[in-house]
Amino acid sequence: MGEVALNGLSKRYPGGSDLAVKEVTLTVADGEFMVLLGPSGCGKSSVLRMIAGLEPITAGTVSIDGKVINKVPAKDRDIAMVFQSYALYPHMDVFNNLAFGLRRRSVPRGEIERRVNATAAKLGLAPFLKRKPHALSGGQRQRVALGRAIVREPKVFLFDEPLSNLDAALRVTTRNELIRQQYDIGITTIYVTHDQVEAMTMSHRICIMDKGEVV
Amino acid sequence: MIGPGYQWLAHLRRSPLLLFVLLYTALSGGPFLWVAVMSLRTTPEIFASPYALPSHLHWEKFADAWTRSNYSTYFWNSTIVVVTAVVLLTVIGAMVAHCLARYHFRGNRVARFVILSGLILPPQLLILSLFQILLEFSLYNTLTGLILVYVAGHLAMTVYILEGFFAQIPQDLFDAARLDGYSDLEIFWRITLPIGAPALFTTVTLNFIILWNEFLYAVVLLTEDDKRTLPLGIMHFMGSHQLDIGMLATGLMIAIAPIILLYGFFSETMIKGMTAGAVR
Repeated sequence: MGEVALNGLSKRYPGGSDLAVKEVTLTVADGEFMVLLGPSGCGKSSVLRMIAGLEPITAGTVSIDGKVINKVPAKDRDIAMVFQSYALYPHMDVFNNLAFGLRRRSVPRGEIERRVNATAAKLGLAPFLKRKPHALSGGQRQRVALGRAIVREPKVFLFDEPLSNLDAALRVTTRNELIRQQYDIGITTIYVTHDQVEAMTMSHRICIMDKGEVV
Repeated sequence: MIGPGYQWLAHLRRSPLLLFVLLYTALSGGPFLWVAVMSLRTTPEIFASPYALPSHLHWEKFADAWTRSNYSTYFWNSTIVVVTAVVLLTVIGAMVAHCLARYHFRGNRVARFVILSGLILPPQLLILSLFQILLEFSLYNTLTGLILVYVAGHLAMTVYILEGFFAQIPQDLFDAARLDGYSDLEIFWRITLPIGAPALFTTVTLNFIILWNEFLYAVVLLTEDDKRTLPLGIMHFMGSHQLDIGMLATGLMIAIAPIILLYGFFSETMIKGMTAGAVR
């Protein structure tokens, strides 16, 4: 289960006079692939970061499966996020990047190895498990970032423009890969992009945002 | 682009720089070599011909300096004081730098100003008040007192170097670690410290070198012979009426040996840490 509900979600940054996000209300059904589409600066990443618990919420609520999680710290929300910059830990090899989140959750060592190897095999990362991120191509890094989210089997996936650093050809391949993975796993996904083609080809439903509001 | 026929012009352009580097090397390396040579000669030999190369290598002077002049005690004292101070400086400095670089809290700028203002205060200005404070807390003439003074005195520089480096670590890494379930303290140990290792090596090496050679605080705050550190121990060879220059040179070579070893091992990492962020 992983139904995400936003109710009157608003965000004002310190020192800012206007609301960056204005009373966003929407529900993402369990297993649904929802895309937040809008121009740069429209507040879509702020919405994503508030769902993740990385930004304090000014007003409104975020709920998962009917439970309000405004006060729940990011580390306890059971949400995985793929960042635009991939945010791979540069001092760890691919195996440890994938296993990092599992270790914190006290998953037994054997189970960690099984899940990391299965995820690596699924994403074609098995030959690169001992490599550090700097020794990987852009596409491989992107897959490690995706693998790090998948391996945890969270309630919700959040994607913050994860394809924007890839070249056009790789973007198409990775997009298809993402769609396939989400279909296979069936975990609720909220995907932020300003690319209309991406939004149309990937999502079950699109939410368009402009100037902090859902339009 | 310079054609092959004009390469001499490129060499000519570089020659003033080369000359400067050679002069600088001679200026800084010359005295060191002179002391190194003197450390293997006896004082009468040195007075007879100050710049001559040794006719016989007196390695036994190193054993003499170590055993007859209480040098082992000074060396041990220096090791305790400097290693403890450097460990404390690294741990506390890294935590302070991590907080200043990563968190936006009320009073952030004031805290940074207060901590970094330590950079502009000369030690001569602080010595009287430190003397009084250590007396009040019964820490005068103790190694613990000297360690605390070293930590307080060098925290500003440590934080300054580390904060610059830590601030460049992308925020996304910290956010990713939080979503992976790690607390702020765990993120500091597992993300900031390993990624900031080059900067940590820089501060460890710099602090070690500066504190190992520190004289002013040590001479004022330590009085008993068995508590003295190496820079004070060297003074043993300088009496008010005589100067055993040969043994002084040997003592200096023993004192700087750990520094040379440390610099030899970590110089590359240190330079990397200091220049990180200079070019984005």
